[in-house]
Amino acid sequence: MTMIPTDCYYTKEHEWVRLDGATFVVIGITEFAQDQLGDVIYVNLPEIGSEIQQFAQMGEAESVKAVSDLFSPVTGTVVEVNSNLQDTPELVNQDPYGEGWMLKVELSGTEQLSKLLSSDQYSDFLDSGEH
Amino acid sequence: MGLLRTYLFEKHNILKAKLVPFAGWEMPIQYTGIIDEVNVVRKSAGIFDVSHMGRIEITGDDAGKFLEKILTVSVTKMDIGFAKYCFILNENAGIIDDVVIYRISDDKYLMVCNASNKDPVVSWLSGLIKSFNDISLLDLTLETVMIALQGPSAFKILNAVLNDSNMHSDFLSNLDLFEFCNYNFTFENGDSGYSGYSQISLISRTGYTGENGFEIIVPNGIGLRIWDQLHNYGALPCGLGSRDVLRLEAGLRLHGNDIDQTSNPFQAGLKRFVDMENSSFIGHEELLLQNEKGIYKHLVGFRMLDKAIPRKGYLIMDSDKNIIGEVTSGSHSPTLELDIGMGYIMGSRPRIEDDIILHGRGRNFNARVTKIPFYRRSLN
Repeated sequence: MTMIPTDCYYTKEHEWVRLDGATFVVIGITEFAQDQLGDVIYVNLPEIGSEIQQFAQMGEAESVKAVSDLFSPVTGTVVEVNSNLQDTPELVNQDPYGEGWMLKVELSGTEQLSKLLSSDQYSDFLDSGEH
Repeated sequence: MGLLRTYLFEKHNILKAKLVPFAGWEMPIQYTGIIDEVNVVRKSAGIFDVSHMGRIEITGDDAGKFLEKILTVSVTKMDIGFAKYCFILNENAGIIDDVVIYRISDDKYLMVCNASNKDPVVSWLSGLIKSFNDISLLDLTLETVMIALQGPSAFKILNAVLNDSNMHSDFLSNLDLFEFCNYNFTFENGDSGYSGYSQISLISRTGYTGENGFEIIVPNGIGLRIWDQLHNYGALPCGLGSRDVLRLEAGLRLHGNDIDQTSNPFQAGLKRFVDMENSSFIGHEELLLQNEKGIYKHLVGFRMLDKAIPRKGYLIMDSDKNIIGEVTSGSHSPTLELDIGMGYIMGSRPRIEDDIILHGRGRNFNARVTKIPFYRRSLN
């Protein structure tokens, strides 16, 4: 298993959240998720300005093998969408924690972050085999 | 029940393949990635472990007569050293399996069937064999390794492997499509691997990718050596994931998806693999009847106009949104940079370039009826 960045929060649905300033976060899917998906062909994401709900469906990732729901790790307003994923969805496979980021979101509040997993907890979750 | 493993299983682990359960076997779905592997096969050459496929030897004076009751071709008219793609049908002409039948000698044939259908095929054969004298069925699946070497460089690579060990290779360039050669691999400084009761060892110009290539069936003991040699000479390991994409691009049907016991070869657009002059095969009468009545469903190909990959089970609608059928296979095509699929449409045959709508996951997607095969290799 590759390194799990310690500066992120995680969900059991294999999304990551990285704080970007006090009230903004960047979100994406984890190394584990991209590996499970295989070659990503399309990423369908909400538009700028849309409201997303923590743990509710927010989009889809289609790989050659399957189409999978993406769940929002936070509640807030989408302020930026990674438009590079339109033409180069393989960034999700190549650099899931970096160039393969999906959304930038303005949080409706920071207390919700306590519902997410720390990198240690996510690592334990992966090791537990319950995913 | 535990999963079966092919004789090359440890090699797949060493090569860091991603393994999945498939038809009772633990098989590599990919090594580096599906798209990478599709590109390798289209541009150079890939090797696939297809040892999970059923291999059944049928021997006896009446073997030909027996097989003409089972298969949609006239096997007794086949030349020795040739193979044919055909079907095993039930009484309603539903497709029990699609197989490749090899004529090994006057009284010996080899049938290669789908892994997922081996048990039903064997019991179908065993049930019908009783009315024939002295025919033996030998299941060689666990005794042999089957490797598919596919791609424009396949000939060059196999030729080099044979020459490297001073094995004869002159036949290779003359091998026609669906022709095969009984071939004893004799590597220098190595165990030839020939033991046990299987006499089958062959190279055939067959495959399931739409590329030029070969399939090699050998006794287990020599399988790993051949895999390694092909790999050393530049063929890259490819898994079942890319194989599925390659076969769809080439318009090849997959049993369990595009054909099954609820469809017949005419509906699937595979009439050319049915020899109606062989009137003894099971399902013949029903096919004659179908021909008179007209075919009420057709397998068609389509390409997506919207950005979505068609998936098995998505509904097909006409442009007025009447449901007319269902998707049976779909994928992204890296070769064509399109999303493509196949599915059955009820009623009259739609025209090429007709617009259709697919419905799946609560959404509609625009698509257009397209000629099969989607991809055809250039002949040069």
